[in-house]
Amino acid sequence: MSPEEVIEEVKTSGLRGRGGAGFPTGLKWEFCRRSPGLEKYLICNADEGDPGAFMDRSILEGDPHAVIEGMLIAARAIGCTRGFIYCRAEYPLALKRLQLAIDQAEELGLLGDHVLGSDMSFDITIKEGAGAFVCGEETALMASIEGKRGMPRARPPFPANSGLWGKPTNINNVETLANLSSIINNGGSWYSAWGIGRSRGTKTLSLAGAVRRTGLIEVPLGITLREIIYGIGGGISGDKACKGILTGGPSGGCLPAAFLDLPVDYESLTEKGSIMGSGSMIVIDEDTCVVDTARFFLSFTQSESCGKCTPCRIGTRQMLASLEKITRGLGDMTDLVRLERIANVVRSGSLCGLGAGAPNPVLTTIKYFYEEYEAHILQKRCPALVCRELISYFIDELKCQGCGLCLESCPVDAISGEKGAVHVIDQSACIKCGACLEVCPEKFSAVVKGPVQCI
Amino acid sequence: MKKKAARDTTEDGAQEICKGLDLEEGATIPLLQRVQSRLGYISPEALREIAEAMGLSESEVYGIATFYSEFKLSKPGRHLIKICMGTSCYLGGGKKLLEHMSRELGIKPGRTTEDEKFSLETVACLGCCSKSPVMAVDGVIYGGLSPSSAESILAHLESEP
Amino acid sequence: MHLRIDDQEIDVPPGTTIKEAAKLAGIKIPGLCDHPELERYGGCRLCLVEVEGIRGYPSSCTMPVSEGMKVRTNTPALKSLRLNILEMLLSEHPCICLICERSGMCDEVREGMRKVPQTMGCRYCPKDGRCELQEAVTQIGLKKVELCRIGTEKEIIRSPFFDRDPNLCILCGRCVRACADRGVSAISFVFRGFDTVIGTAFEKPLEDVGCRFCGACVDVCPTGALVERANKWSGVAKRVVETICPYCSSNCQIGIEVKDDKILRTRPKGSKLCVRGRFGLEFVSNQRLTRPMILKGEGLVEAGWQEAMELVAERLGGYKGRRFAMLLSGVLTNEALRTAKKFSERVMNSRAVAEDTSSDFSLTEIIQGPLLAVGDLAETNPATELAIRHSKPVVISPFRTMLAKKASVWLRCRPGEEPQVLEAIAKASVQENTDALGDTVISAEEILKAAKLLGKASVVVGPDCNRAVRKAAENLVRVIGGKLCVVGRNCNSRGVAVLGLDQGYEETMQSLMSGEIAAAYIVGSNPARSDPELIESLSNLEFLVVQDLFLTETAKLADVILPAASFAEIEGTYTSSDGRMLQLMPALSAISKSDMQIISELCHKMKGRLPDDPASSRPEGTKTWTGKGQQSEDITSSGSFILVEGPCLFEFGSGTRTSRVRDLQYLNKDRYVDIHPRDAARHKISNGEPVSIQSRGRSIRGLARVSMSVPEGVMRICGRASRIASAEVRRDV
Ligand SMILES: Cc1cc2nc3c(=O)[nH]c(=O)nc-3n(C[C@H](O)[C@H](O)[C@H](O)COP(=O)(O)O)c2cc1C
Ligand code: SF4
Ligand code: FES
Repeated sequence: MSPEEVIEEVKTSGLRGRGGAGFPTGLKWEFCRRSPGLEKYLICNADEGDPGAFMDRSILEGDPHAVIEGMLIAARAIGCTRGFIYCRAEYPLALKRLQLAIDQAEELGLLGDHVLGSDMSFDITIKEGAGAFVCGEETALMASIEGKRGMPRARPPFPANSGLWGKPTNINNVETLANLSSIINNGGSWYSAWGIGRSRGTKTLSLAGAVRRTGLIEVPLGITLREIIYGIGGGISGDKACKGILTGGPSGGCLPAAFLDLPVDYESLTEKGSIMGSGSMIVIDEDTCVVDTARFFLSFTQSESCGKCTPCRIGTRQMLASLEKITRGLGDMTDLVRLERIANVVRSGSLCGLGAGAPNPVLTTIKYFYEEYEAHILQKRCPALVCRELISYFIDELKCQGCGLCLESCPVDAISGEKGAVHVIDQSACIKCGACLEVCPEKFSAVVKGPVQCI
Repeated sequence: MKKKAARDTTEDGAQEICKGLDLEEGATIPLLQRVQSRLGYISPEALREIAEAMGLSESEVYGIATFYSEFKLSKPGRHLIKICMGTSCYLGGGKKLLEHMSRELGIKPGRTTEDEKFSLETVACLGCCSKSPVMAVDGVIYGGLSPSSAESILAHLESEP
Repeated sequence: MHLRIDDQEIDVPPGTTIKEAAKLAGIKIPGLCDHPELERYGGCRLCLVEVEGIRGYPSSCTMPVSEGMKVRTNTPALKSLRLNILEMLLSEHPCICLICERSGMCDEVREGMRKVPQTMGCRYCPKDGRCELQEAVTQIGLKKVELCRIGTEKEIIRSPFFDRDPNLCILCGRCVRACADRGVSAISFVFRGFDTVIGTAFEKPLEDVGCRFCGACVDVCPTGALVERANKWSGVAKRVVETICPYCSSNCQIGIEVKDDKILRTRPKGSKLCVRGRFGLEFVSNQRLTRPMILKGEGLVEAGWQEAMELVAERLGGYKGRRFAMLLSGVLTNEALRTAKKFSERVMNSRAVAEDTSSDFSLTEIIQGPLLAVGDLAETNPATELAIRHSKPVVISPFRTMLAKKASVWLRCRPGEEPQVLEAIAKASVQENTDALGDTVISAEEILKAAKLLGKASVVVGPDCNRAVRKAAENLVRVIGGKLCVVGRNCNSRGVAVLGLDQGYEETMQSLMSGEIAAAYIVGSNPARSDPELIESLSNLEFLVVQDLFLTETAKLADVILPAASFAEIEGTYTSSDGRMLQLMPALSAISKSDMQIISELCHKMKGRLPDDPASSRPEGTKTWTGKGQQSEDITSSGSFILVEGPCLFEFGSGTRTSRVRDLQYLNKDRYVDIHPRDAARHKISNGEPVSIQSRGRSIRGLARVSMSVPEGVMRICGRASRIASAEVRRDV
């Protein structure tokens, strides 16, 4: 197949980037192929920074050759002479197996000068990441490979025109690349038989959270959330009610249970304010506080901000401050208004995808779970009993048998009581770690967690 | 693009880091990683050497080292405890685990105990989400932890001389 | 390219950014991180615009224009984004005054002051009135900061010449880019995200991380984060006088900001200044002589002009002819040089000389073609070095100089081998052989590579190079048909050469040492400091007149001292290396008479007097003048090292002026001795340790600086003039 035919086949398959943005892969290759220059680079993005996602890791560890094959296909189609795999240092096994696979491929003449006797030369170097989420972003990743601080830069110029060391560069995600050999072997239309609308093929998702069966799943795009949660996931664990689902990781959103029949494809998710992202799906039940979850996600993106642009550097910090105020029960409605205002500015004003995506969890939770914010602000109540300043632990005197287990477990000695007598928690000393609740024998169930007011 | 570095160098254990390595443009981070894995942190002398070898200024190299959370600029404890704060682990009790360990060791995350025995850190995701909450001690991963089971791992290390 | 911005149609060249195009159309888009002289950045996000067909809000300072583009710069959405982003910036900034409705009217009521020694509000910011953040607030129209103040108070970092207040920093990164642009990168962004600050490796002081204190960072800082410390609180200048830097022959244009007859600060005017031009003019108001002095009995006493001039005229009258010498300097104006020449030739029947020269070349022309450079220009002529750095010259130097780092070919010879290397290139370019290399450490391959690059090249020879280098360069230029560019030492080196005053300096020195000369008139130079071996001959003179700004080492040997006006007080001209007349403009009122005025008054006084009988006795014990930098034969070292005294940026020429600038003196407090890591290891010397060096009976103390910038077996100390000697080194304990 000629390079043009390869690109055509990939276009037919409808494959879109699995790294998050979902840009059509064939089109991306074409841009880079057309870009003038003798030396071009191909980068495999194996930085997989989304906390809660590990599909790339499983490919890298389980079938590194698929990635190398995909890189060879891409290199041939685009005309790249040199490849890099930028992999997180936190994946030692993946790094080891990748190197092994590269060595084997070199031995077989699949990599190196004159691949399989052809006029194509291609070699692959592994670059280890050093612990910065933002380096998953294309321009930051390139800066990092160049040995600099991984700070994104504005586009244009696009990597396809001026990327690594100023040369035309194409970046693809691990999963995107791993799909290629079967697309070329079976034909683009074979692949596009799956999926709906403009989202074709299959996608690996990492299913986690409050479902019975967690783990990696590969599904045809267009499957509904309900099928994923109740079909593949086997329903909510502990038979609780599904509250919602967090898709797309820290730049994604939180969709309420009302959207269970939403098809999982790039467009539908985006339309609801969330994203496909790398494919992380975390199911939450009533025991999860969405305000706290938004705060958690934001604290992640905030600490991973590179610090280059104002909205992301300061805006996320301001948002975090507001959210912390709210989860502590110190917020008022102006905080919520301000939170939303800044969130929108951060979303539109940031330089790169990290800042642009960071407000998503906040904005979607405000949109779909407004009453939960209100509860935190107006009633100083955390409905899921998660936000520590808004809950308390106390001992039901009718149930307490005075076994003393809780007293022993308390790290700050906030519990008093003689053996055999009713124990009491000193609320002013309690740090709400919940140790007492955990140790209280189930048959007594004397320790109760409840809103602050119930003391 | 390639510069050959022939160096046998001065001073402390940072020696020889550049020996035999093709100092390609962009080798700064791999060099830092080498130093870190040998010394456990980036010493000022080692940083100077890397800067010399790469033709960069010390401040530039320091800027790079401080950008990436992998690099430590001061000497860490003998045991490194990393607690996963990925989404799964966070929701699955990672926060409690962290607080517990932090209390046990008497240090905040990112710090080292006074006897230089333990360093406590958080990490975004160890890629073991289905075993949450997870903690890594000196690179060994323990999953499905409760505060007490984590404590016993700690106690085991503590009993070492 | 044609595009539409708001309602204006405009044509701009491709590659222009939207922001630049808008400026051409008369539309000012706000923005704080962008700077015309620096690499594009796009961090502050105040310059966002809307472009038809493009999603989101691209930053106009990074986005290049394209054909038919339709841009909007001021939609309600953009206004709101800007207001919000600016508000974010101010939530980190002690900024009460910026948005105070009584801003500008509170001179008496000191609002916003805090009980900490820190800036809080514009009234207490040294940049008040010259701050781009203030401008942005006005332009964007921010009235209120609702966001809570975040961030912790950070300590002010004090360095020589300027302070950094991280609390006022908006992380636009201009200073970092400016520093990188100069090839120094003493500062960098450190840490990440919200914790990001601008700093140095391990928070070391700037002087320990290679800062050259050019002040480029201060010049580009849009807020009060970086400010000069001298006159920090003196506010805005009343007037700016454009004149020429009085130090090296790069002849940078400077703007002197003046208030109350005092120099507040200097700024570059279309040139890239070094520390000397930017911060080194303090000498004009330090320890200046204001009245003439006469040697009476054992000591120098102040005297009136009348008395001093009479005495000089009378005594000098007795030494006309070969017993008189007039020593001038390249720091003098053309007018002073010309008058002095006339005085010497017509009145004293003798020759005036200056130890300085410069060939005739145009920097802008030579950097178009291939270049070869010898000498450490970054230390002697920083602006010239910056200009030629970008054309990637071939560099001959034992040291990894700033220029060597950027060289296309770096011929790293051993000290003293430079002439041989030049010769080898000359041979190689005609005969393609490299026999002339002899036993130098340069490989034949490198020489051939250099020779190939250097057809018709200009050969730049720094003022720190000795005569042997200059001659070899001259020869090379003849062979390859290029241009010889001898770079002058002082601001008016070219003026010296044009007047022919560079001829005969050595002979004059010879006569001085041999005692043939009995009376001398030294203007604007301080040989007793730069060549201590001259002190004896100078003190043996029967009559010595010294004309200078200060009571210099040489002046202390004089019979009469005449105080002169500084460059900042006079009108006059310097000649640049390409022959232009550069105009000096007076910025301050004169403390004394100008050199020209003094000498011409003397002319008038002495005219008509007849020369005296030249016969006179020679004192005993004659010595011979060896000249500077010519001891290269000494390299056959008896000691264990070759010792080179290299020029130093912070100590200009004899150091007479730079020693009268407080912070420069501070930077010179330690003498650094560069030593190769392998040598250091062998002698068990570690970085920063004190060492003492024995060389030719002298003992020099310094701090070791372990660095690969010197080759093995060589030590370099920063100091006066360039000399080569062998040396023994030992650790100080
Ligand atoms: C903050 C940020 C982090 C990202 N992290 C990753 C990542 O870890 N892995 C990845 O493949 N793509 C990541 N991306 C997306 C990449 O920038 C890029 O779109 C992708 O690698 C392109 O490959 P694809 O077209 O095959 O998806 C990230 C983007 C942003 C803005
Ligand atoms: S959005 Fe955040 S991560 Fe991206 S450039 Fe801005 S500061 Fe850096
Ligand atoms: S001026 Fe354009 S982003 Fe700062």
